[in-house]
Amino acid sequence: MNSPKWSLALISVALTIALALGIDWIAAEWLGIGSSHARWWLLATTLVLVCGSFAFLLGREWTSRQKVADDLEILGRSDMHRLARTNVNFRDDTQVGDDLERSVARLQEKMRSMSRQTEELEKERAAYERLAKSYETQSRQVHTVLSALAEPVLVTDKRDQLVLSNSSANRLLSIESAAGEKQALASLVRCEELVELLHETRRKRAFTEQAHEIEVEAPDGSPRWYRVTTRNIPTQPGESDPDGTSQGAVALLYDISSQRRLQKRNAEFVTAVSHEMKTPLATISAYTELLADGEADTPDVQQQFLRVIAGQSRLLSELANNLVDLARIEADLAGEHQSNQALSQLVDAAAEAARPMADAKQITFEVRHADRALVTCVDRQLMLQAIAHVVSNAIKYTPPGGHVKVGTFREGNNAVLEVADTGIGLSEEQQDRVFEKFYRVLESKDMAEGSGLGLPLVKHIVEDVHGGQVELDSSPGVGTRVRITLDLPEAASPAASTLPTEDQP
Amino acid sequence: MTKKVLLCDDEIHILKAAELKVSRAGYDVRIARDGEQAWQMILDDLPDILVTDVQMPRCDGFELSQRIRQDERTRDLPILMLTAKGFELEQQELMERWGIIDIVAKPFSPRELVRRIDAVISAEAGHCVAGAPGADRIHQ
Repeated sequence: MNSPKWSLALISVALTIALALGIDWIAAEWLGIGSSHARWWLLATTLVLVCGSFAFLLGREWTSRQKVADDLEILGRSDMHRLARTNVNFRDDTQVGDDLERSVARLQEKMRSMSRQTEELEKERAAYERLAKSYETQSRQVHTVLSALAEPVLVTDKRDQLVLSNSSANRLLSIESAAGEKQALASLVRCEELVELLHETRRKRAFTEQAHEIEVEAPDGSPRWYRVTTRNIPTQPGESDPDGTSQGAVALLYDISSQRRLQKRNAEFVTAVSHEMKTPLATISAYTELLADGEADTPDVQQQFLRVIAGQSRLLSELANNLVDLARIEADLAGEHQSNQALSQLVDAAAEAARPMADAKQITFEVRHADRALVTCVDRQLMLQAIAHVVSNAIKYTPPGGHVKVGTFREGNNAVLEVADTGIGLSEEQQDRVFEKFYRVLESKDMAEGSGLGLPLVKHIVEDVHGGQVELDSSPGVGTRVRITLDLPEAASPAASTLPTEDQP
Repeated sequence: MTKKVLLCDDEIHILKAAELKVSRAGYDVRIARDGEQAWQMILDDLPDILVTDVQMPRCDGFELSQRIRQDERTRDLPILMLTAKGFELEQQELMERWGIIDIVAKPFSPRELVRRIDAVISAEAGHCVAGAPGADRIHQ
């Protein structure tokens, strides 16, 4: 209670006393009440009435204020949403000033607007939460895809720090995954070329995609070739871009080592073929020139030169044919025409073609079949060629008067062809190398001409096309035994393939 | 005095053709079938020029050249390469690294081979007249 209220109270007390004195005087003068006893009673009654009404008024005032304070207290303590919903109305009978009521109304209005804003913010927050969840899911999906990728992937940010690398990249580049902390790519990856590529791509402002082939040393120290596709992540409107470049770069590495190896092998092969062709060509051109210059002074020498030219021409043509066969086999075009063939027939056909050569060298040439009905499933043309190669090799590298024995028989579930000769034989080192393309044994060069592709072709035909096996057993000066093993077709009945025939020794 | 030519190649027909043509041009020709054999023949009797193939068994043309250049007795022997690898080899490198004087690519003309041998021999003779160091060793 402030001082104006106190002075009001004092004035009220003074007025009450004045009123009491007035009543007393009226009672004495006008009503003629002489008894002082009665006058005291009237005075007391009047005073009690006046004070009572005053006290009642004061009490009401105090109660109203207390109610407002209580309501404000509730306002202060309550949460915004309940407040906004609660209608804070003062009771009609509450006598508070208009100013207080207006303040409370304004406060409540403010509360309502804040409440609305809060609700909107909460909705936004929920939307962001959903978005964050979906990004998290997407991120997990991307990580799963990346870690499943066999191709190494690296992502850097605008400071060339590594922000993402999949497990293939970590393995290849020996990246220690430092959890949480971003590190400069250059400090994590030893391959400078790759670091430089990512840096260069990131420096570009506009979208850039580049492809390069780089050599990377694998953790085991072996050199590997990768085609690296790098892309930058261009800055979007609203993203900070202090140095006017892009937000980072991505590198995808694709292992091309096997392609490289294949290319290298092809190049080596072509070089070898070219060299092998040049040798007979050189011989042909040299002898042609000698003939043209009249260097062959007798008809005998002329004939000798012409024989050399004819032999080298045959060799060139053989080389060309072998190359075509090799190409067909390597392109998987061969072996499509496999059918059941009697091994004895194939061997007889090859032997027939080789017999004149054996006869010319007075070589004893024997062919024996333990079982004429032994059937194999083969590409007739190719297998005939392989057998012919082995048989003619045996005759070629056996000195005159020697022996060449050819035999076929069944061994378990296999059909076996063996060609044994009493030829010059091969050392262990030579045995290891005779199946290499263009390998020719020095000592054999003078004995016979060869393309250097015969035995590699035999191996290809038997092993790659027919799933069989070629084995070679030889000792220098004693002879060579070549053994070709082929699976018997499943349908071939054991009884039918083991029937003895009149050819059996 | 008849100049001595050593021909080295593993292809007998080529060797025979070259031998015929070069000997008819007035040289004293010997033949070797690989680098190893050629090396022994060089040590036995130093020729005036070596004509060698590159790809040969046992000891190839490069190894043979290296042995020749590293040995005091043979260091100045002129070497002419007769090879099917003509287009793949860097002539500059061959000359600097192996001291190869000239290259004849296969397929080759025997006539051309003789011309190149003549050129090398007459250049060496010129050196001899001018008293080039080491020239006496070649002709001793």
